[in-house]
Amino acid sequence: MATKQGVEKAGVEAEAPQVHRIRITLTSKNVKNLEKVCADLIKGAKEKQLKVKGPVRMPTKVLRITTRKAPSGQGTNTFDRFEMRIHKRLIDLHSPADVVKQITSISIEPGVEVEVTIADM
Amino acid sequence: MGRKTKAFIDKKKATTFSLVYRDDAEDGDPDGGLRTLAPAGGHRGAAGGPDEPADDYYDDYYDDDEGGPEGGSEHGKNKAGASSEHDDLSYFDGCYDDGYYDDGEEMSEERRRELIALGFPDDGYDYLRHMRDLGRGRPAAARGGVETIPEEQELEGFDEEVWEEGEEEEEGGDEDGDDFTIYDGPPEDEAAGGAGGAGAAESKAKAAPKKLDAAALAAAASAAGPSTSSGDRTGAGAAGPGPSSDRTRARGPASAAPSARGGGAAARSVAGGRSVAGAGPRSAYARSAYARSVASTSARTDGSGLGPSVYVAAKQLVAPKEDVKVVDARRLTVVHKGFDEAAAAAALPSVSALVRPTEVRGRRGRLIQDLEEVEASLVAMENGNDPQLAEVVEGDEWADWLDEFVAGGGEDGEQEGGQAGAAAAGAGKARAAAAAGDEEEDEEGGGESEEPEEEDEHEDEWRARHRRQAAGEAAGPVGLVGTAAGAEPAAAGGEGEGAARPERPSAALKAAVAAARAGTIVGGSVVSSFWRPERRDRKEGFEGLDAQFERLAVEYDDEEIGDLEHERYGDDDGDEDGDGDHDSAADSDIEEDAERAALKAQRRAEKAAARERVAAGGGGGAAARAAQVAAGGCELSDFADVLDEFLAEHRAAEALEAEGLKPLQGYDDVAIQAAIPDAEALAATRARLAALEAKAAAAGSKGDADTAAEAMAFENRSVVVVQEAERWDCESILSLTSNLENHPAKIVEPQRRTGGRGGGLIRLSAKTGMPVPVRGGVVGATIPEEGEEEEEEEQDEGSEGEGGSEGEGGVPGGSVLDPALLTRRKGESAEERKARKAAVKDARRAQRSAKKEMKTMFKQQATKAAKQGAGRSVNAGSTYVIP
Repeated sequence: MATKQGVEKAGVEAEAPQVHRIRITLTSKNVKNLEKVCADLIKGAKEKQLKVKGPVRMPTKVLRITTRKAPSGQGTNTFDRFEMRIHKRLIDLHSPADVVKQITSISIEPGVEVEVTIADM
Repeated sequence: MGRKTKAFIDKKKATTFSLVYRDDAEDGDPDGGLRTLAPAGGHRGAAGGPDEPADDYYDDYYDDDEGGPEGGSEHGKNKAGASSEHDDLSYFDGCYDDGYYDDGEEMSEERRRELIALGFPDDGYDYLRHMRDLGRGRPAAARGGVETIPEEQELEGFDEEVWEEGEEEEEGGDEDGDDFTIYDGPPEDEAAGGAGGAGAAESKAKAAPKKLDAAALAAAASAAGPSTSSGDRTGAGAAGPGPSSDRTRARGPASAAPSARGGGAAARSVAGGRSVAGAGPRSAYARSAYARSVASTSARTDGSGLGPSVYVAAKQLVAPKEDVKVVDARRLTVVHKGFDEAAAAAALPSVSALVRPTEVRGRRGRLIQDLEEVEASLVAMENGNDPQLAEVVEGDEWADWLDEFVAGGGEDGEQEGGQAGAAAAGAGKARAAAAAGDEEEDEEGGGESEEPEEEDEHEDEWRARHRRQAAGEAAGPVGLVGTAAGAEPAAAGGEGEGAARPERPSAALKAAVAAARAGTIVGGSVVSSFWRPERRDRKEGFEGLDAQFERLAVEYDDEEIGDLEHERYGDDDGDEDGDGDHDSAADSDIEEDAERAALKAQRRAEKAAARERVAAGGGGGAAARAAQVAAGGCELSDFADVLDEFLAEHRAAEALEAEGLKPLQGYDDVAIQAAIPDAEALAATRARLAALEAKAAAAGSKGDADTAAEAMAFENRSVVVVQEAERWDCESILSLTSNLENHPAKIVEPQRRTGGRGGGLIRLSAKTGMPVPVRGGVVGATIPEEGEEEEEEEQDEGSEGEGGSEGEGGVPGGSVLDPALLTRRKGESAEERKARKAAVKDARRAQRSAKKEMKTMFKQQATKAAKQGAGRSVNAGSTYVIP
């Protein structure tokens, strides 16, 4: 882990065509934004003639919380069901690292979390 | 477990970045945009944590769960490293979660300390696995994330690197002279104070103060001497290794004594640029010691915003720097009084929404010209501006075109107007666009005649007082115009200044004329308040209309508004019948109508006479009074005729009755009456109109614009009738609301049922603790919670159905709502049916008994509470005492 920055630099300084395997992970609670970002990324990658795989849609995780509505114990037992859905997408690319940086510098919708994993060469 | 395919990325050999917002502290290139890829800190426990589970074949789906009950509730916050490591396309392998680390036993001591320091419960779970770095932050933090370093460990190079950087970063901040920060304890506080910005450090420091005391003391003692930090910083590097030795007790004093400078330097360097000269003792709070204790927060409390922040109370309360600026008064200049007034005067026309003409009378000759121009423009508009003649000028070329236009000119009037317009544009800031309407200005100049006159007046005023500059500035447009006859229009007022003054006296009239042309819409016209000069989309012909409108509007407000035809108040009758163009039919009194209908014949004669009187010359007195009447003011003498009229009307009515005709009563439909074409009235009106028109024409030809204007004004006048306001007095009306909807009630004090001494006005129900509605509903009926009532109803209705879904969650099995009992299985045998029904019966019985038990218990509690409350005083208030 100490060479993280070193890796980054290597990726940049090495000859441009050196292609890395890059995985972009997008997570969000908001499907619309997430799909939009996915589409943008893939579109950007295709414009740069990169080999793209994806988006792979992981199963949505639903976090449920069921609580009683009443603050006290009195009353009929009514329950609130809250849930939060987390969507996750993966995009795999083969590209030089700097290109990926460009791609990810597009405007990203709020609420979408992006992680980029670059395989060390 | 195997995988179907080789993993796309081997997370262990991959670098993971997270897209985060750029942190201001780092000097990344701004080209990257708002975000940057920051190395994801990896697993927080990467340095020491035993978190690395066996890789690749972990199911991605499960990996984020980490045992969360709800299926990955921590997913969103998952560590970048962890998630990326197990992010795998082979998630469909039904792999199980191996469990990351077995337990707390494996959690290292430092990790545990860190957790405690951050406030997490000490239950053996590594909460830090769910925390991650958000941004890159400071280089120190970015270096492989946060590392926890035990206190005892000496870090050789740690101090100087970290704190040198820290110094440099904070040097700037301290240059303003603060020689301490609130994080520093007060000087006298030595031991545990001086939190070096690390709250966690503090807690740890408190945990183990002893070790640090000596160091702190030593450092403090040693640092007493040298004070300049700059010198220290240079020595900081050299003393880098030094401070690390601070920590040990043995060496602390040793280092302190011989190299007071070194020790102090070290301590101070470590204290970082947070302290500046003169803060020797304070700065020396062995910040080095604190620095490396929970490093997780120490690197960040300087505001880089990473990680959890802990509230640290400031040792010293420091008032914020005063936001005062010292200004040398001698350097200020006093603006001469003349400036402001000149500027104000120049800006005056553009400020006022309506400008009153003051010398309307004096410029009659010119008014006629303007009037003709207005009419010409109207005609042009009606006939349609010939589009082919129009030049299309793009926005950019506007200036050039303007120059050409100005230079080329056209007719004399246009030329003057154009030049004047240009001059005005040049002179006035807002007038630049007025020039846009140049070609129209000459036509509509008439409308603006009034404004420049006022301008002139203002100019006269202050010019008399302030010769030079004022004259130059405001006379800009005027003076320029005065020279417009042949000279190039000067752009600025200053230039016109020289020309202005000599020409000033002679150019009075010309200036007024030209200024009239220059007549900027800007110059405070009624229209201009909405149509700003910048708006060039105003159609050409409309300029003329604007002009006319303004003129008329101005005239309406004039004291000497066109004479009203009638002297007397109720004299309008015939006109309304004939014209029917206004509201007078609606406005006028019923009384008037009656009067009118009854006395048409008589009135006509009188009116004709009155009209003649008015038309003949419209005596100023009559006009003035008419204006006054129009404005609403009345005098008692106005009503002198009322009695006469009434009597006359009475006599006429009697006469008519004698003839067998019934006089028109007020309740007859006025509109119908008015609509009946009366040949006589029509003829009379036509005659009157013809007369007026002839007069107008005559006046126009004669050049007597006075009467012409008045005649025109008369044509367009509207009758102002004073509305009789509804007058109410306290006896005639009690309320405007009817009793159909309004049911006022008397407010009564609630009767106290029990002797009036117990409990105050608000009584709480013993069962629920909520206020009991008092009889009369003052406390208010129980406010139903929004959904609850419906829900309760629905619940009751659909209990069977819902009980199925909720039964398991909220209702213990065995109660009435147990789905197992309530659902009937298909193909059930007789015995099963019997058993089911018996089970339901039992459940119901049990529920009944439970309910009864509950109720009795509640009652007992309530009585107990009531008994307790019996002894309470009124002042104690009414609170529900929980036994």
